[in-house]
Amino acid sequence: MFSPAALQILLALAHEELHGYGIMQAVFAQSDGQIKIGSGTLYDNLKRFMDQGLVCDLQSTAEEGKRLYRLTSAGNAALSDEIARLERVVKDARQRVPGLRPTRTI
Amino acid sequence: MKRPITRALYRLFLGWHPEPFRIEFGEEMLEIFEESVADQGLFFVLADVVRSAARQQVRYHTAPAPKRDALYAEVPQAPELARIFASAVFVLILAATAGMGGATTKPQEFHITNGQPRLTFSAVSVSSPKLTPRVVR
Repeated sequence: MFSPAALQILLALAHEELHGYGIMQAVFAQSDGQIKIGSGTLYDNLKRFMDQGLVCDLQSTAEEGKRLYRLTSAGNAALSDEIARLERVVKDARQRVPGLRPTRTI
Repeated sequence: MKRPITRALYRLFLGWHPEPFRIEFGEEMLEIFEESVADQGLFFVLADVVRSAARQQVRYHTAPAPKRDALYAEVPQAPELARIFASAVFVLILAATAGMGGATTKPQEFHITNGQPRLTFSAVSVSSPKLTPRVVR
């Protein structure tokens, strides 16, 4: 189970390889400005993910030598598991709460 | 726009992180400081880095000790009997080694028989014989 910030970081990296500031911008954009993560939270999570083998880093040649971060296959699997878990939670919640409002399309 | 004072403050808070974390990410965090402040505001960025330092310190000091090499890890995990046996073998080897290198305590006797009476010398050590003449009749 991941925190909202951790899940957003993994989601951002699932799409493409990104450097630190790129991840922060991607998280802000993909959450429609709902979630903003500071540099401390970002690197805190990145270190944990790298220790767990979910994310790896690679030196970029294009982005002014900035370090890029990439989701590993283990990270991809962990993200898939988390999404499946969230889907089960939502499905269960819909069954338990009869008067739930329909999903709002943005 | 460069913000020397706030940057110095940020650098100070970065210094509160454990050393391995600072070495790995410190420079990168400093690089994106100005951009982060422009996007998120100074207070948010500073508060976030302080929170991160606290989290990292807790994680650093509560992390389990790194695994030892197999050679050393084997000894405490071995069964009691095996450890006693290993210790006994070690003591025996140590004793044998000490016996080979040390002084020979067994007295040796040299007999010079030239008719009567017989003269006998005893030596305590081979390396430095202390000959004690003794007349044997």
